[in-house]
Amino acid sequence: MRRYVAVRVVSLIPILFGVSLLVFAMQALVPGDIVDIMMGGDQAFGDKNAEARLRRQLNLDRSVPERYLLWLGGLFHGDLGTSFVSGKPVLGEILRRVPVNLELAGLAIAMALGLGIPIGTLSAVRRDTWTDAGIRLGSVLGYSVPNFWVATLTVLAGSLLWPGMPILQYVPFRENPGRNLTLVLIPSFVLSLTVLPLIVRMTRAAVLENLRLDYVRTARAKGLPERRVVYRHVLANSLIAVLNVTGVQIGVLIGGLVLTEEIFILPGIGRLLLESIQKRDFPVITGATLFLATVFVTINLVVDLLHAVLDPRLRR
Amino acid sequence: MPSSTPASVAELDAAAIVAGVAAPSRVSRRIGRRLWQRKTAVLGLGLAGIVLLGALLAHWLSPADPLAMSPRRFAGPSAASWLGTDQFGRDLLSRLLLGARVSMAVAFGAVGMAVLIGGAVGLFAGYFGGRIDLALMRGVDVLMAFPTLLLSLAVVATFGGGVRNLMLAVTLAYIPIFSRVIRGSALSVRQSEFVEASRALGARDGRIMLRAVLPNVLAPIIVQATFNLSTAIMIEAALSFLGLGVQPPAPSWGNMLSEARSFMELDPWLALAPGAAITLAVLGFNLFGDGLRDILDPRLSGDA
Repeated sequence: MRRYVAVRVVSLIPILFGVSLLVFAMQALVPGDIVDIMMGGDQAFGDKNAEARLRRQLNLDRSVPERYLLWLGGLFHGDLGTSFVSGKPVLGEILRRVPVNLELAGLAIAMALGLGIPIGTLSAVRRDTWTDAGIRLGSVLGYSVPNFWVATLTVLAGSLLWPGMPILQYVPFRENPGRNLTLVLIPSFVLSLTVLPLIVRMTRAAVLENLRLDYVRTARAKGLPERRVVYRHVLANSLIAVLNVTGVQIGVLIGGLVLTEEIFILPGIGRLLLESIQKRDFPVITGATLFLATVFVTINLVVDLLHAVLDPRLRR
Repeated sequence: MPSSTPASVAELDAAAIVAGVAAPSRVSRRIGRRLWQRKTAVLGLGLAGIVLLGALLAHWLSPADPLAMSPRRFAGPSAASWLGTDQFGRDLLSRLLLGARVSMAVAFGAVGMAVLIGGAVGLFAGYFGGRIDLALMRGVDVLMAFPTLLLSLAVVATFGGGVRNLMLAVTLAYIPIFSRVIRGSALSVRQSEFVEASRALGARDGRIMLRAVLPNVLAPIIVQATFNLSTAIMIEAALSFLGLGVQPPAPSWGNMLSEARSFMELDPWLALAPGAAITLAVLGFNLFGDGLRDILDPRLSGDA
């Protein structure tokens, strides 16, 4: 097991290296002069001193490979560069917003699993009934409806039907936990809908598959009540498949976060990324992209390792 | 399909499909009949067909110029404009039709390019194995390290929006998906007896890849491509919604929804219509894909 973990963790290194190369290459490939683009619309535009400072800051007087190595060296010290707009270190700007994302994503996953596993199990147990048909129809519809549309309509419904609905505001958890939770609850629920349909579908498929296996027959033969067979044995064995899907869905969730934060005006990394794109703040764009990709591969690794812990057949 | 007989009927038919033989083969007729029996797949094909037709015929079907403003703002449905007008008095139906064109162009363009590029990568990696495989798949792993929307977002943020860049952005995000699907199939086909037999007969690598490997990976590619059409529609809409894709005044379902946000309390219909268009298009390709998967590649079916 320890060997498996070590191999998997080490295999992350070339991938992260490649990710840094790709993210850097995009910045280096920006068409036109990056200083002109970044300073366009700024009061300092045309100020030769400010321009020269920016060029030095971005190491633009050096060759592209040199710039990459300098940037990469900085990464090892936790230096993602400096925001052109705020003048603050990029890493600090990102980390300041992490709690918002953690809360949103954590609640969304909890809601999706909390709803999806029971619904999927119900669908499997009631196979080929109207309940099953309804749930399956709902899940196909669920992943065909764009989440940002649902979010937009939620905001609309809130303002039309319930003008006092706490929405489009944000209060940090530390300042007022109760208020924070009521404000984040609705966006989290809407976000959970991005992953809910697949969790329902996978739970249903896994439960159905397990129901056909020999151990279920054994459990029934030794006289266990059906309820116990399903909830104790089948469901426990089905959760591994659900865990796997949840890992894959983290990517969908990260994309969904960007949209959710934009629509509900929540100050997370997604909004930071969008704002920096609007302001052409390239150090922040690069930093936030790199950060989110790193989080994504790391979570996937953790899910894989969890999978190996739960399913010994995978440890080779 | 039994691989022990080097030229089973199914393989010959599949080869005929690849070679572009026009005669309707038994396989495709059989697939068509079985698809027709699935009501949801037919519904999906219908929805996707309507969107596709609307996109292709947008210029003929549009009752008005989608960009022409008029003083009739926020007008309800009428004989002149069936779905009413938006905040600038532009005809909503015409804008939705042009939006379908953008959506379909990006979806089909991106999926087509990703199938070609990703397919070539996967075919080479899976067929030749060894170092070629290792090098190509490392590159694919790097692309896989980005959530799909994030990678597309980064591309349009860097190179700007517009239909062409949207297409490239989605293509880049899809290349790893198709190269993985095809690599897996190519790996397994490579070791099969009929490939060994053709090699023994003196067939060259290029010919084997084209005539033996490709027909066998067609089914999973078609299934995957159908689902990816629907996610591509979603990505295009999302990026345009965020203001990074198709730029106004040119209509896209995403930017129409985004613009409607400022007026939706006044006229909720403006926010409902583009979202409904996205949903129907995505639903169409998803239902059709579900049906295709059940028929072409039952192993992938999530319904045990």
